[in-house]
Amino acid sequence: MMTNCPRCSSPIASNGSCLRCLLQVGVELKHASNSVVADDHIPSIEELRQSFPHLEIKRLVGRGGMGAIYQARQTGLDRDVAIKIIDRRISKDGPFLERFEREARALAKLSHPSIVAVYDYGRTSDGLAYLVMEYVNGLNLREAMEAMSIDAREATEYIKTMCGALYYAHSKGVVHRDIKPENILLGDDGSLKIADFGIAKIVDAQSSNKVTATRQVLGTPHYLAPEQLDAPNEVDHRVDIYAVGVVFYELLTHQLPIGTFEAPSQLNPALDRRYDTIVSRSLSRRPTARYQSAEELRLALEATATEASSSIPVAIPVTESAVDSRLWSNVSVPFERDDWAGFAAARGTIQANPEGIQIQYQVCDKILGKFRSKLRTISIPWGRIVRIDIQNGFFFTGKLSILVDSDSALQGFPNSESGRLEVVIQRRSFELVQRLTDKIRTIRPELFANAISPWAPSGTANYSVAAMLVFFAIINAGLLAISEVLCAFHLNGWVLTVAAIASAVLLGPIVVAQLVTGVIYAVTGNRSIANIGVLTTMLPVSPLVPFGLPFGIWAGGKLEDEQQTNAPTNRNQSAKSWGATTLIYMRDSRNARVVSVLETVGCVAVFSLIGIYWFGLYPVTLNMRVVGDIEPQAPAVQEELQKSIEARSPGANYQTTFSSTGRLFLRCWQFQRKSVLEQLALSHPPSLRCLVGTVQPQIPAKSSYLPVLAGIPLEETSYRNVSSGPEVLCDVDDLQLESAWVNKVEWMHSDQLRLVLSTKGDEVLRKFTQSHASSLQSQEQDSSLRMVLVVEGWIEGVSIGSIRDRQITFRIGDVSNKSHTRIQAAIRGPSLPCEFELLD
Amino acid sequence: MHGYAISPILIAQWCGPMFETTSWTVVFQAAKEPSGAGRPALTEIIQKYWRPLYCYARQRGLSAVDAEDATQGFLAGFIEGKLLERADPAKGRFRTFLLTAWKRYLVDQHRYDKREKRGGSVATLSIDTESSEREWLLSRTDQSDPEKLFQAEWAKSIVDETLRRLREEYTSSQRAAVFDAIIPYLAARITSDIYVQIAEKMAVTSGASKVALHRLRQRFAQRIREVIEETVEYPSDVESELGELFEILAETAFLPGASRL
Repeated sequence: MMTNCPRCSSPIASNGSCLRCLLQVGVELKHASNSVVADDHIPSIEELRQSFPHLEIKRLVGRGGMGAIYQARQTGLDRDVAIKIIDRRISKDGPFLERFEREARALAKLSHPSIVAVYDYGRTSDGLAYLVMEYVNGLNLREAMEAMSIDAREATEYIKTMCGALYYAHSKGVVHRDIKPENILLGDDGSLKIADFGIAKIVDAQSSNKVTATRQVLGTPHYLAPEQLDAPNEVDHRVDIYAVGVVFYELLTHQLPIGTFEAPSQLNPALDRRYDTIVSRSLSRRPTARYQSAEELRLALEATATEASSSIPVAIPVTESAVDSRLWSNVSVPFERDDWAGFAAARGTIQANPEGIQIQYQVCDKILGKFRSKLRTISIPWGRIVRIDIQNGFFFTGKLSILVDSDSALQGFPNSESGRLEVVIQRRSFELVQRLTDKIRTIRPELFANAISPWAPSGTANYSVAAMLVFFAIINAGLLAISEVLCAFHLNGWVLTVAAIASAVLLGPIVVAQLVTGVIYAVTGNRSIANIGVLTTMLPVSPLVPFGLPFGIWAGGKLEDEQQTNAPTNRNQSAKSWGATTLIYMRDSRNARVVSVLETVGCVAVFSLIGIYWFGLYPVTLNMRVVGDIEPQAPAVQEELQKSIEARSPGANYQTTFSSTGRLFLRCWQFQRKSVLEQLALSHPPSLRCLVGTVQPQIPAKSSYLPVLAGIPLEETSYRNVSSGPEVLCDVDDLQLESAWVNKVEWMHSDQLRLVLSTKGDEVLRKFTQSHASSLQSQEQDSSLRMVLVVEGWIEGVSIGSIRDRQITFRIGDVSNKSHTRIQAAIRGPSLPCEFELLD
Repeated sequence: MHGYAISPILIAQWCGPMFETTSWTVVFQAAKEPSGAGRPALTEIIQKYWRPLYCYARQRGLSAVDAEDATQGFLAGFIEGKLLERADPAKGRFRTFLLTAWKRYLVDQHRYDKREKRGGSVATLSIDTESSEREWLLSRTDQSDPEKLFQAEWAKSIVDETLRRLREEYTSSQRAAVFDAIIPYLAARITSDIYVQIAEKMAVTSGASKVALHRLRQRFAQRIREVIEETVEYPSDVESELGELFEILAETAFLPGASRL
């Protein structure tokens, strides 16, 4: 029976492998299989066979800038060899050949297991220089880097081997000058061999003016030391050390160190930082700052490897024997990390193991808790951790923050910035945290800067906060009592009943909470308790919220400060603005302050806009058409209208303009709009003429000028008496008022009479005028004596004051020679000869 | 007579390092000429790929004996040059060309009903029908389209040829043991376990096994392109032909009944 591939269920090929998977290998490795193309500058296989009759030429393996490499078999010695043929263009150069032979002789003397051996050299029948070398079955380092993953340990081994070989060659006076991954061969027997020793020098030194051309042929300059570019003829073995540094950097990070490059551990978080030092020293621009020999570099790497074994992932910590290793995997602390907006959270567990701290987490939504990302695992090696802090968090939670040396070590953990990973631990996991930290403490005690037991209350309370809480409780209790009493006395409707119940229900717990938390905080100093109390002062149900909000912000800052004093290692930025509650989640953000300022500004702006809209505090222009038998364009008519409008709205100073087309534009505030329109709708100016009834005073002889109100003669004596202060001379009930708008009539001073109105003055005027519009016309003429109201800005007669505040005060004029006084008030002004029609 | 006027230099450029192989159309053109210079080469090429033909015939419903006869007859006719005039290989690949010719041949064969059985005087090609029959029995399904079967068999022939050459290459360097140790893992998903397994087999370090495996994979990718290059007219067609073969296998992998077997 035929079996199918477990991976793709395709048929299996004859040798047992899956056919399709095999083809996939072929398809995927496209870049690795570009066939080498022969050209005119290198000999063909046939030509080679003639030149090397004793060799069995197999194939063209590679084609580089300098020439081509062929694989051949030396049948006699039964070994594969590589033939390097120098490009026809270079080989034809006379001085080159001399140099070639000199160098090749030196190269043939190099004998090292990690250097590709040179078996033979010479010139082919058509004059091409050639080298016969050891053939390495395997990949060059460039191919290997592309095909397979090379970890830091392997990379270090490779570099160490290279350093050994280079040190040997340098001691023989041979500098490679062209170390690059293509020249480093990995054999499938596990060997590493450096190829092309000194070739660069042979080719390079042809003549200085050809250097650039040769460079182009040689390819990338990234592996060349700076001095190699500046003065190619004066370089020493330290250029090889630079190039090894570049290769090492590339192995560790898969990038080239170009320009101001990042340290390897920044790009590869799993790396020990000691590699950074080694790499950066190898890559120093000045040769004197580099390692001075390959051996020195090798020793440095070896030291790192042994040192690293005590602290870094690969190896077991020294102190591990002191710890029960079984406990490592046992302690797993669940945590949560909220997103800023509160819609999503990262949930997971933290574990400590001999290599470092391991965090597994999923990101899930907070509302349903259903949607989860795939499980991610990050592992922070001990070497990268700077500090671990454990503190009280918000509302009985704990806060575990891990500070690392750079963001890259956190490997994209959500909401981690500035190398700080901060998670929330629930109260139920406190014991687990304790065990975890104990564990870490035994391994790395220096990570814990504060010796304070994390969960113990801090001990000292901020007494001003506590006192304020109690104070708020007392005030709130008073307010509660007052509201209850008020409701009780006016308990004549369901609205008040509901209000009484609501205030008791809402305010009662607040009072209790503030009192209790204030006292407990004062005694124990527990900040979580205090936080609850502070929050209650900020609740909008309390009438004290205008004071409670600033207090809450202030107290929050105080509590935060206190926490910082108690835990000196904590460098949290506290959020002390309007958005304080939401900023709890943003504390570790660099932008927290900006966000909080914006939030505050935004809140103020929104509330202001709402207020402005609600109270109509914005200007509007009323566009009205003049309807009536008049010529609105005439200046005289316009002046008349202007006066008439002013009379209707005394003191308001509306800005009115008439357009040439007879339109009236009246500019006022939105909240005035309604009353303006109502005033303009009156055909007559408002008048108080009939507000107070006409009375026939019985004037005593001596003081004939005294006014008589409501038929009650005002005695001189009593009149004089009131000059010192207000005195009511008659009851409202006695006064025969035509209007219900006047509550009271008071004598103020010797000649001032004040009417206390039941509603706003201008409202009274308007309504009165409306209801008496018909009678006003006839009464206009017989006002022989009048006491006139003054409305601010427009005075007729002798009255003073204004009609504000529901009072009209006016002065009694000289009435001594009058037989009777008629208390009469009127706002005078021209009648409107037209109507206004609002257009929009 | 030089309809194509292909210079040897051009051929060498096309073929790059593969000096022992050439594009099939070149061989074909050579074989078309009366002197028949390319005929042995053609025979060689055809012999590599006759198994798909056999499987196709079997799937078309021919009996084992008839299929063998037809294949023999077809190949003999092909090599004799009888079939060459009828086909135009100017465009296309050896695979499609061969299939078209084979289809046509089978139709004719049916029409003239074994008139030319066993190809008259032409010597029988040494083809191993027994293994082909086994192959067909293994890969056939009742529902399989004969054409798809042919294509899948073709792909298989290509891979087998590649592996054969690869093994030859390793053997010539006396490294057959390495080849045999790694070849089961050639298409495996790369994990660190694999390196360890190979390292154990070869008794080397896992670093060495890593290099050895990737070396073999690289050589495989290079070699399969060489093999395919022989079946297409232009080297630039290699990638698309490889992609096509891969697609064909993807289709056959999910043929109904493919997993039944």
